[in-house]
Amino acid sequence: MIHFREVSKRYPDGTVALDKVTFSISPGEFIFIVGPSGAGKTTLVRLLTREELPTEGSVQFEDREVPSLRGRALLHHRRELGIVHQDYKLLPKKTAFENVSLALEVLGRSEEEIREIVPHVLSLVGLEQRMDHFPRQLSGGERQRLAFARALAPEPKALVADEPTGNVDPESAWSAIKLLEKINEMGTTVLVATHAAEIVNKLGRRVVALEDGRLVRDQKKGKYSAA
Amino acid sequence: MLRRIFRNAFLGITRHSGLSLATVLVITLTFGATSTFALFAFGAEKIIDYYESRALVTAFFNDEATEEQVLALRDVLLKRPGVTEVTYTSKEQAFSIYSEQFKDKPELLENIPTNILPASLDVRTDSLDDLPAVAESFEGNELVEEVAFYQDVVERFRSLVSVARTSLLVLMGIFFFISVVVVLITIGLIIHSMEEEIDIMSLLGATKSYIRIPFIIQGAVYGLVAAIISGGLLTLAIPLLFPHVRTFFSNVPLPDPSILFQLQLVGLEAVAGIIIGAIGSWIAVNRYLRV
Repeated sequence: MIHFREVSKRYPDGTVALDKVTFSISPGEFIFIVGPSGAGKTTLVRLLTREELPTEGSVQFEDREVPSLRGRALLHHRRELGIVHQDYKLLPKKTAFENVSLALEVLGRSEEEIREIVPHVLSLVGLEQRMDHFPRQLSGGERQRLAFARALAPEPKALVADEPTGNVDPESAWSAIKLLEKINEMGTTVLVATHAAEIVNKLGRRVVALEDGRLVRDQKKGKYSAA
Repeated sequence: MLRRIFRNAFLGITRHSGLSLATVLVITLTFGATSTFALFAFGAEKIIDYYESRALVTAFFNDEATEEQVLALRDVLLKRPGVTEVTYTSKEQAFSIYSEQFKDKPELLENIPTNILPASLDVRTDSLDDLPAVAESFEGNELVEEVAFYQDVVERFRSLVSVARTSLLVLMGIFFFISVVVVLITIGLIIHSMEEEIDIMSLLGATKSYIRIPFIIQGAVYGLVAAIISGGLLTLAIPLLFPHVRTFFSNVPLPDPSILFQLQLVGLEAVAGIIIGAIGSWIAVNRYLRV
């Protein structure tokens, strides 16, 4: 479903964010991309969302070559990916309901559908009582769950989460991971970039480890570190 | 869909109330200054028009010319293109004007026969350019004794009028340009503060038009509201200030600023506000649309 082939990303200042990274993700898989800060995890996510372009190599989503996507094809690609960013990227001047409904509005869903889907998704992440709250009125954990709700609402083929547990307390981090597992059980491919060792070790899922931009390990039931 | 677009535009305005208020205020001040200057230019143009129309050619007739002949010539002149006014002054009227002018100096009136001053025709034209031709038309006419036409004075006045008009046009252009630039920068700043929102919407797969249209509506609304406020304030100020202007230029027949004129002013500003606001938003959003 997702293929990274010999992908390199070098910045003009000489920094090598990724160096000939190759791996594939099958439909329905749950995969952790791990590594210390600066290992290249976020760059990998940004290449998949085409926020950045690789210097070399190929990034494929289904049969599409992501770097060459333009215009409507790129919009279509982004609509099929649910993305949870490290900083959540919530719209500060929109309520929780509006933040989620935006993801459906861009798909052209009707008002009736939106009124039906949004409360359902918000209740799935435990925010049904917070629908009219603005992001600034929510706690860190609630903001994170709102970001999940927005990513989930359009029923994406794959959900990509970049450090989803980075800015929340351990309890919220665990509930977020449980939510991701639930989503995965429903058939959605889940890719999580993280350096939360405890979570990775406890779940025993596939782990792709990056170090200084290079892929150093790819294990079916992996741990955060090789040892 | 249309409802959704307008709702998003409306929410964009109300949820950024502080920024919206500041934007409307800046645009209001800019529009106010520009329209005040436009009114000043309009008034100045009327005053120039008036003084231009006051320049004249005077033909003095010899004693052989009968009143019928002079009046016949007046009728011919009135049919001439560009001629706006031809005034006949008989010998008697000329003397009575002379007497009135020098009533405080009776020595100047003593022993002067009442028919000593010649009859005359004062010819006024629409434009200064038509006056020399009118003066030439009297050449060769046996009834005319003298033609009074101060060509050098008229020429000087004409060049002054031309400089005044060009200056007004240039100043108006500069004012309008500055006004448009200020509005564009102000709307650009408010859109800049929403750059992240635009980015997020792009990442969610929103089309350019989905992102762009509410911002364009938002810009148009700012322009419209600012234009209505500045136009409204100006409409209120005109009746208060106009009597003072009229007193200052007491000899110039300035037209009364009618309600229709004031409505046209507000309407014109509103249309300009909508267009500039919408274009400003369109330019600013495009700068941040990186899809």
